[in-house]
Amino acid sequence: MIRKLAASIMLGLEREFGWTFPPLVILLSMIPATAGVLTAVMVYWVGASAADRADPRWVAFLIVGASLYTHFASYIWAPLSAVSEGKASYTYPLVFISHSSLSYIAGRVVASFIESSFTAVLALGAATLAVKALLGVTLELSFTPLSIALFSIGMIVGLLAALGLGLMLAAYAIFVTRLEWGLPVYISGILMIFSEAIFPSSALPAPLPIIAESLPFTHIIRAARAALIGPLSLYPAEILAAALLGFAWFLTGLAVYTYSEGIGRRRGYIDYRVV
Amino acid sequence: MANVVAENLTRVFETKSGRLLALDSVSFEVQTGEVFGLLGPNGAGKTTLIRILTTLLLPTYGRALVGGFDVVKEAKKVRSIIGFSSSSERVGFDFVTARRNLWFFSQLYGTPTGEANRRIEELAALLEFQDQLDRKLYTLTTGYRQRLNIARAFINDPQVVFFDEPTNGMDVFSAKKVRELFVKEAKTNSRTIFLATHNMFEAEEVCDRVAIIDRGRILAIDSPENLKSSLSKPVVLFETDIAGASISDPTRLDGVVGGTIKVDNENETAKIRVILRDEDFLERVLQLLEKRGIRVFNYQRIEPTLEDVFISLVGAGFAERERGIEA
Ligand SMILES: Nc1ncnc2c1ncn2[C@@H]1O[C@H](COP(=O)(O)OP(=O)(O)O)[C@@H](O)[C@H]1O
Ligand SMILES: [Mg+2]
Repeated sequence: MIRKLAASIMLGLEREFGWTFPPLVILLSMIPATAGVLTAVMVYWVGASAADRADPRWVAFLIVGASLYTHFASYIWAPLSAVSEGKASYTYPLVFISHSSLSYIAGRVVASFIESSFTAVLALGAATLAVKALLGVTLELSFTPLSIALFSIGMIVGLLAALGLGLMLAAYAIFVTRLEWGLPVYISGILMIFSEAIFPSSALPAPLPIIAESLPFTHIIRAARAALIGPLSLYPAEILAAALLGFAWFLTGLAVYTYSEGIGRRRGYIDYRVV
Repeated sequence: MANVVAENLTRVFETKSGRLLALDSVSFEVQTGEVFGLLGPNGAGKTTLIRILTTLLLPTYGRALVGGFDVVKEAKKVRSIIGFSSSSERVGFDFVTARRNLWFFSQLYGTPTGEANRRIEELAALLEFQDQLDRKLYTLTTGYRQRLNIARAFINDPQVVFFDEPTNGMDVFSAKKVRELFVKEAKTNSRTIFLATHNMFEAEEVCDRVAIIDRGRILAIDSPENLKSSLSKPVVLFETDIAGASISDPTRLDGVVGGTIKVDNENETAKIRVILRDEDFLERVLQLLEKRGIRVFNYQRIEPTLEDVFISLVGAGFAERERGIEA
């Protein structure tokens, strides 16, 4: 089990970084991540300045939320691509008959998480510096060992939730012969709207905030804000909610994936080639 | 010991045009140390059978045991003792080296690193691709990729190894290496090699026993020698001028049990190969050909091949079967 997982993480890292010099990979993937965060900030700043209501605290809110959102939105796809690419290269059926598909998917998620964590943290730093340089605003983000540790715990809790969502997407990939490439856009869009990445869920009309509350990502983003912006007293409840929801998502993902492997084996989809 | 057992194995596919019986109540046993061939034309059901035995697909009815374990109820145990390689060209992780591909799969089977490295070197030596091990997979030529794909099937020291058309599209040299490996692994390492092929030569060359399969049914199982000698009917090859091409279906000729025809447009000749009901029909066929204005340059009785066995059982050859011609 550990051996399977470790090998899959290593393979996943080679998939993420193997094509060129690893620091270059991080640097390149940081560019769109930082740009995304800065776009959100700029849209807010220009609009709010026009109304003479520009507030640096909202900028801090946006930077933390948008960086974490980018982080999730980039690595939840690892399982889907492991299965759909794996059908084309016949590696998925081979992993399946070695009785390792779950470890493999988990390993690929962890590898992608590692890459995306570096990117997200660097994008957060870069966006903070850019805001200072461009807008002359100094953000009240506290980067202390404690706040960074709490922020990191949030990301790790997010891993469980992302694995759950990833397993559901992998389950979907077992069934399709032709991948719907619009899917990442839809799912990322939903996450962006409901996970409190760029605006508080209280801005949503009822009953939509319920969706936001049931997403583990919402609580992780809130916990991260509590750690970096404050107040710290909000952190424990949010991280606990994130952990519980994340665990529930993970179990759901596991059930959905296991079920669809069963159907896939009955109908012959496991080694059905994606064209 | 019977390492692979199938009992009334049946698989139905629901398709748009209705129910398709891909495997029809198939039963057989394969022993330890045996190279067993599944010989039949495209669409016969070979891949379907292998998919069931390798736990990729569930049977609709019937039962199968691999290494004594039930493929449905004990899939996990089956998986730990089998190896599998399918013929497709683009198998594997392109973004890592050949060695990494082999290593990765060894880890999925829990093989300790030292042991895994030893096996990788050993398999690469047997199939002669040591110098390719540290190259990224996508840079390997098709022949090397295919050899790697065969080697991977042995990486977990399996009791039963399944190959689906292993030498399809493979260069002659690689195919020879692979066939030698099959025999060696079965005989010296007591593995069962289970091989689906539509290559008669391969079946004759490496298999201890061959099951002839057509439309989901096994028609005969025996050693290649016994299968051929069981064919008491004479096989005759007529070499004719291009007019021979007008015989689209040799089985329509009186006294012919089954046959195939190969037209050589360049040399304007045709080769009509027929299995006769008995010797006495030879004259009859010669007369019929003459009557149709076909000039016979030469004819001779020839040794039967496995395809002749197939033809005598089915009434049509592989090529005819694949084009959908009825017996
Ligand atoms: N998933 C599927 N759905 C419908 N029909 C299938 C499926 N897989 C195979 N078949 C059909 O089953 C028959 C046997 O196919 P297969 O086992 O691939 O034959 P072979 O490997 O001998 O060429 C063919 O008629 C094929 O079209
Ligand atoms: Mg096939």
